[in-house]
Amino acid sequence: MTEISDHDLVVLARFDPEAFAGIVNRYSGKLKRYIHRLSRVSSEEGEDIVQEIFIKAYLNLNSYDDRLPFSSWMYRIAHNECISQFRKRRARGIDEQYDLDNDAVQRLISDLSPERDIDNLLRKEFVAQILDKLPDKYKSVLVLRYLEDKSYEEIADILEKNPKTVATLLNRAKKMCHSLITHV
Amino acid sequence: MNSPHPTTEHTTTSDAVMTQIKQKHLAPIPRWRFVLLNIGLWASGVAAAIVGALGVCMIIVVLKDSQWQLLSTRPHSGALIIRTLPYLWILLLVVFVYLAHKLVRHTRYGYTYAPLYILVISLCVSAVGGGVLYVSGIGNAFVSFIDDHRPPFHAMFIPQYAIFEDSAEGLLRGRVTKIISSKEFDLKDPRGEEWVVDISNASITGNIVENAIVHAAGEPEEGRVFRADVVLVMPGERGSRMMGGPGIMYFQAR
Repeated sequence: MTEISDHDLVVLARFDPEAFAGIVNRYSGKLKRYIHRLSRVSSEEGEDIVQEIFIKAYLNLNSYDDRLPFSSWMYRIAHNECISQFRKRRARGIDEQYDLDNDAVQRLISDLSPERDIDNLLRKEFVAQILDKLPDKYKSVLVLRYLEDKSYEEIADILEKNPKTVATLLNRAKKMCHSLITHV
Repeated sequence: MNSPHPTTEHTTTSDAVMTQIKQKHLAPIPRWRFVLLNIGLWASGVAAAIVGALGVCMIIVVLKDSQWQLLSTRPHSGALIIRTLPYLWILLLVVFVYLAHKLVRHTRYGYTYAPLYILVISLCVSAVGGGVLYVSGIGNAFVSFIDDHRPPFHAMFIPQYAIFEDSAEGLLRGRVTKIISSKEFDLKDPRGEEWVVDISNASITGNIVENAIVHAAGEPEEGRVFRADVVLVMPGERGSRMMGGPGIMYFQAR
């Protein structure tokens, strides 16, 4: 039996709310991880945010256009919701931990500062410090590119920016990171 | 349906979301609303570009009628010319081209175009539209309206009015009310004041006829006499809206 596509799930969910559970099951893990990579939130708050993302996705199901990968559309909603939530959290001064796995952190450090030799144990905190110091627009492209492993086109669709703009943002983010790394 | 095997974590999230959907009786927003929103954004973007076109049209009108030829004969001509630039219309153009660019960027696939590309296209639409509005006479009709009604802040719309309404600058603008002789005519300025314009030593461009709108550079003298050095008659319909009647005199440009 072949796996039902995202597109078909969306078509079903427009008429049958129960089918939307399939979308939630398929994306909740990825989106929770993305939320925790993008900012320091507790698992409870991450759960609240992800539920809010799915409610918004459900309400806006009819705005989804299948010329866009469904995954990018979900990440776009997640990204917008995260940015909105993080601004509120930042105003309250809440601080938790990023969800950074070793492979992603290694990939990021290798690309940004290959000459820098950092102890494995310090890497996560090191990357967390760097991400904290970056403006949201740079942090978002870095997380999507290096931690979520998204292509430039996918990032462009998620952030609703032109692919060339994404390339420019990523370049600037890398330069800023490199500068921060040499000073940390 | 063969979705990935739900873990406890997935099930919890899924259950919570489905419970909310059922309890709050949520349903997807109808598709037509999104279609309408997208059409609205495009329409607003085009409307903003058209307002920008009005700005371009008025920039052409103001620059074309700015009488730099006359102003250049005055002391401090550079400062006078700078005062005649159509700042309000340039601002209108900039604001509405930027607005058009922002609106188009927020349409469904607007983000896929480079911001500079949308900005240049918006500017081109406004420029072409402005040219069309100018050729169709809308700009001149607007100036005629300002001429006839003199609304508050009219000098903001057509900045050279402020300069030509200050006779101390040695500049005068108004409508010819009567041809007295080949050396003099009566003129009513936009404030309603009557002048006798002495053109015995003036360089004249155009036909001075009754009801023509003229611009003059020279020196004001006592008794509301203006000794003109240069006289320019507004060309076209605005400059020679003749009310008919005899006594039309023709002056050959020197």
